[in-house]
Amino acid sequence: MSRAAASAFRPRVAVVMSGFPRLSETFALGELHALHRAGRLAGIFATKPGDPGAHQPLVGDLLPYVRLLPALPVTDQARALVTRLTSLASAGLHVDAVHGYFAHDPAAVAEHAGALLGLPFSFSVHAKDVRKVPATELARRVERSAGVVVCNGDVAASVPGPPGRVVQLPHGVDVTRFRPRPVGAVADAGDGCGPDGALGRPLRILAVGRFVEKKGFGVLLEAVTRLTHPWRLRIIGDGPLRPALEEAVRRNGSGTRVELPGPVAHDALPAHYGWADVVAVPSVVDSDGDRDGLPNVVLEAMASGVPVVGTDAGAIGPALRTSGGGLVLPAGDPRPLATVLDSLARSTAVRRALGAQGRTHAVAHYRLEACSARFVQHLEDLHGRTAHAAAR
Amino acid sequence: MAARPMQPPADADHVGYVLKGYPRLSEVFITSEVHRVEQLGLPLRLFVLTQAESGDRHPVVERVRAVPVRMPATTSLTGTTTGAWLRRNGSAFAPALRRVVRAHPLGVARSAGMALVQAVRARKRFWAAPRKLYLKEWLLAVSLADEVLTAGDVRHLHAHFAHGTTTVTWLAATMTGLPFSFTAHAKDIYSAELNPAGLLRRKLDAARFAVTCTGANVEHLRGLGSPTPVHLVYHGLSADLAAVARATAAGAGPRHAVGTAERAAAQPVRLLAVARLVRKKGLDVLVDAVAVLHARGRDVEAVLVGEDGDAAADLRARIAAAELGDRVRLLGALRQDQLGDLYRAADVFPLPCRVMDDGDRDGIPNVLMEAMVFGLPVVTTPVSGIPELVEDGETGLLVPPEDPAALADAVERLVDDAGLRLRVTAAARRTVTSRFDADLMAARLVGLLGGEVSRERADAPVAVG
Repeated sequence: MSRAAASAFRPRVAVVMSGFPRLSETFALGELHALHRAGRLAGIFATKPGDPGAHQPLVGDLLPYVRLLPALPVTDQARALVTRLTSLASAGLHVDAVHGYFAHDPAAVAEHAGALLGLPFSFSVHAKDVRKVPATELARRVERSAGVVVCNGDVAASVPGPPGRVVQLPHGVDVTRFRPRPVGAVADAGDGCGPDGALGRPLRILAVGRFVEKKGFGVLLEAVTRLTHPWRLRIIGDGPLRPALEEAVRRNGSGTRVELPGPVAHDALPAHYGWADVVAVPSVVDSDGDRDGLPNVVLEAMASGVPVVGTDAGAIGPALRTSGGGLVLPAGDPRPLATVLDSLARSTAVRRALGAQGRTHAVAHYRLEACSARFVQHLEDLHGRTAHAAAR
Repeated sequence: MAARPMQPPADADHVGYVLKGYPRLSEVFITSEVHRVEQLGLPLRLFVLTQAESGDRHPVVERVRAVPVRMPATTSLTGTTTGAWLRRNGSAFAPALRRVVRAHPLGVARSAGMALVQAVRARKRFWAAPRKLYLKEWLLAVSLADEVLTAGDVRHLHAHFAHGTTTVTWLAATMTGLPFSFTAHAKDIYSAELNPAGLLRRKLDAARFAVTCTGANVEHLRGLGSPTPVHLVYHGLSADLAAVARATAAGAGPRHAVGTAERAAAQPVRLLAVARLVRKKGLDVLVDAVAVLHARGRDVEAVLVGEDGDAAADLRARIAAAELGDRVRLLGALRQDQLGDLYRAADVFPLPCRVMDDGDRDGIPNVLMEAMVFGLPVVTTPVSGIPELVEDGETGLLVPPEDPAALADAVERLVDDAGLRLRVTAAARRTVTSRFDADLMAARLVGLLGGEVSRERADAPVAVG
């Protein structure tokens, strides 16, 4: 079998998601859309319903692919998937492989369905999903798979596998939509902060993420009350901890300086990064041991040329250290965070330097097109090869 | 969602800081760094290779949480034989050696081999005996490894100064299997004698990373060709001091802001230099410049603040010979709060640093930053990392080293040109506050060291499920 023949075979992949589409998990859109553009996407099968009204850009192109699997145990969902794929095949739409987009249920469904159909399966591992699978089961699943895609080093460390089986492919960021604000562009954001460089202008701090424990927003709210420099804080997102965070804001009397505008349409996000002087990513390891991988906010901030203050939970620290796009602090303690935010408020030159380094690194290593293309290419290589081996 | 308490948990991962002397008044920047790193939430243990020094302590020492653990005292190696030295000093290390050998027999063997190879490589002549120094450093490393094992929670070692301390740390890291890193300063990387036979390169290769305090040093270290990352972390200036400087400037106003014409007629030009009286600071050039200014008919006074060093006798002789006894005063070392008044009272801060023949030099003298936040114009030389702080004509004036006349000219320019002075001092203050914040520099270190500690954790088997 010649290499040329192998690479000429281009597999079509059915992807099993968890809930889809969602407001968060922007990273999935880039990769799925790239599969769609490459003509490699056979279908998107969701193990549960998505978020209502989740309309990030690119979602529209993907909606025609989406089928919701019945709310049944994993093996039954796999059988339902087999039925769907068989009917697709009879309609002339062949499927060559099944990819579970998360390590837990979606990968289990992909594995079962693959076994029933005699098709190779692969799966992605992100962050929380890896902690939903017992270690022995995960190891068995890695062993049986054609390949595993992990998105950062923190996850890679918890996915053991034979050499070459587990490949690390970071998610990308759209560096044309997220770009540094031109110097002096935001003369006055209308938030009463005054123009850039104005003496004593409040430090504008942005945080983005779901209101859950692992995002560490409680720590951030405590940190800002300790700042000696004037400040404004905007936390974009929503989630179960909203009442607790609102209560914290009320309690420490920072109501006029904290904005919790709720979730923001993806189109509007770049403007918020343009507003910010610094992006805080105060993630912690939560009480269940769950933690962030490399949240999109880090990549978006870097692409926007805004310095990041992050913590050493998950894969945030390594990304910031390697890129030089921000500072890394121990997780969970508001005092160091306050010290560093205060210092950054004064240190305009340091902010600029960190922001520029982050932007350069994001463009060089996290360009969405390049990252998504690598994902597509990897699935093609993986299943082109294994499908052929199976055919032979 | 509640924040963790400030006190690290009993089983927290620690970074072990390895220092030669602690706390040293002349190395307050290290004590401050230790304090800041602790405040930023990274738990430290301090391992000190020498006995406590007597004398004044900077108040920041009291605020450091970690209690220094000291290695056994040793006698000098000079003028003695290896056997005699070992008989006098060896017993102090024997129990530690037994324990470390039991815990890490292979590591001890490897480190002993490394020390022996270095002792042979670094001998001064072909037929000379292996250098005794490395036996002593190896024994100190045994003691350090023993203390690290006793502490039980040290995940990474970090040494200050790239010569002896880093050698000891490298050997102890080899024994225990811990990763290490180091901070390089100046003499420790420019003097070949302190790191003979390619030792610096080998240590850099073995380290996880190195940090140093000037871009010039970064270039020098990267020039060694090691793949190990070298990071630039300035010492930076305390925001507290900057705030004090700002507050007082807003009040009385610095003396040099007063209109020149009437002041020049009434009062002498006051020069202030803060520096240990050591050759690399170039204070002899400053004394000569005062003589030049005096000869030009300028009414000028200079105050030199700093403890005596290798240039003290020469300086006193020079001042006496030029009959400048009433013009140049040596005040000895002063506390920070006393310095503030002097900064406010002075007109120009000259510091004509030089690079010594053995490679010793300043990095970026912190006193330049202090003078700059106090609104005092600086005149210095473009050596080592100084141009990274002082840009000629923008944030101060630069003159060639060893040139008293040029230094005198620059002082006169600043005294006579009020516009230049105002422009330079304003830009200087902005530069220091916006680029050289000590807490941000400490945060960079915390990020680097914290990454090593968490990598240690990540390398350990992770339970999933």
